[in-house]
Amino acid sequence: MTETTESKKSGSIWVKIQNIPLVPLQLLFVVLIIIPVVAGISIPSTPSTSVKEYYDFLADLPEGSVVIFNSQMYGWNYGDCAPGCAATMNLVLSLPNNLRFIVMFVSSDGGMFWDTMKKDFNVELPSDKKYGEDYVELGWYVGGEVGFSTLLDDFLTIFPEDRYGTPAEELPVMDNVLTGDDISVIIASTSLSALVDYEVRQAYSRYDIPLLFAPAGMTVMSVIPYYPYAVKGYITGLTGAAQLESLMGITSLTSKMGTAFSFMTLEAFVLAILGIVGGYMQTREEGE
Amino acid sequence: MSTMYRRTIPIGITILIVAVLCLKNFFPNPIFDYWGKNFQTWSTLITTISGFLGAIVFLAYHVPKISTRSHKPVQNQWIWSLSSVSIMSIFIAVGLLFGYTSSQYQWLYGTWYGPISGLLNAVTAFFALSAIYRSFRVRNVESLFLVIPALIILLYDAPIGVTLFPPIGPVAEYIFAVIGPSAFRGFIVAASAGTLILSIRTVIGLEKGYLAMEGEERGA
Repeated sequence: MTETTESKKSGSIWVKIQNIPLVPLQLLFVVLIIIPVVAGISIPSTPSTSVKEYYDFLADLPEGSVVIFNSQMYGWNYGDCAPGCAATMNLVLSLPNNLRFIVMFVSSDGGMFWDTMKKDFNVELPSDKKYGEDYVELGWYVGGEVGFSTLLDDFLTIFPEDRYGTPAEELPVMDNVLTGDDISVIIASTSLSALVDYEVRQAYSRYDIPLLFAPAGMTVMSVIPYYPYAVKGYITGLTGAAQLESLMGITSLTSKMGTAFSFMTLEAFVLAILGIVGGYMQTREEGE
Repeated sequence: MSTMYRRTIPIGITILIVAVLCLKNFFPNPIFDYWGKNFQTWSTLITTISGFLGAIVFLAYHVPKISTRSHKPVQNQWIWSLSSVSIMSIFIAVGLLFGYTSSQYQWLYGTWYGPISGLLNAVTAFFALSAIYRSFRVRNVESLFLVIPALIILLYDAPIGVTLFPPIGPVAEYIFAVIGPSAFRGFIVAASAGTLILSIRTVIGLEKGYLAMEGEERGA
């Protein structure tokens, strides 16, 4: 906190609050992050309406529906996007309606972060599911919106094989998945506003494919204009993922991260209140 | 002749491609579908090639800095350039030798790139702490209208928020479902109208901003 000339003149508690040194606050911040993750503290969260709709939409899909998951997970949005990816994968593969889960990535490093996510969050295929039959990782598509539009017109042009080199014709999960007409829903995990817009343009407008989103917290404002029309539900970042897990009745690293995030937010909230009250009192004292 | 190559032909190509892609959507038929699909595939290929071009531009900038031991634009620039080129070379070498899905390449990514890029995002949280403290001060009634919703969203955005303070749930959901979308939809409609006008100008050859020559003229 910077010290102003006025604040130096005054010695009231409100002025002192305005000048709390930043380093102890940052240390407290670190401690609040570490404790829940190390100690395994999980605080239950209350699912929002959009999270319930996200869950219900997937649960109500007809047997064997095709679910596309488009992941734009990078290093810098990993903490916010990975929990949503993990929770969604766990949900889709555990639902009784035997959904086909097809994963693709927006960038070349998407696959590597997807592998990291599965390892960090202990996401594994249920014993009754098989890679290639219920679940597949196709790889990444180049070209942004144009690439996405092309794959909806002809899947095999962009993905003739999965990311491990198995031809699409040899993957039962890809049976009759040729164009956007064969897709039941597209879920996207992203921190990129442009991806939200182009999915609405290309998937919803052209093929009438409903969309679900698992955006990073900073991107949710780009999603809500399309909700509840093109976007049928969304889970916002780490918080949404923790809420989805609470709906599913499971506890994982996401819940611990959610608790750490909650503690951080509470500290920020207290600071904001102190800033508001302190600033108001300081202004009043200066007026007097 | 120069104008022909630098202006007329690129504009002609743009008009042709945009026209085919528009006709493909408005009047579907096998010919437009065929060419529309081809143009989209070519675009994807060009994007891939642009990544390679980016690497060349990167080297064209940094290699002279290293060879001349340059100190511009910052002190010891050549050392930073050397580290950039070295890291890029390591990634390219490992990718070419072992493949980008190999465990060696994944190790490079998982050990270096992932944590470093995550760290860059995480450190902003510490600056946000200070920013929250200073920016949330209420100086007048108008700022109160901004601060109160911000505090509600701040709490709502944490998993514990609604559990601790249940009344903020419906209020935050109202902000997300009504106030936020109302403003953003207006923004999207305005931006879409602008994009449509830009597209029409491009189709009829009036929009030339994407041509390199135009950029050079502006820069001159």
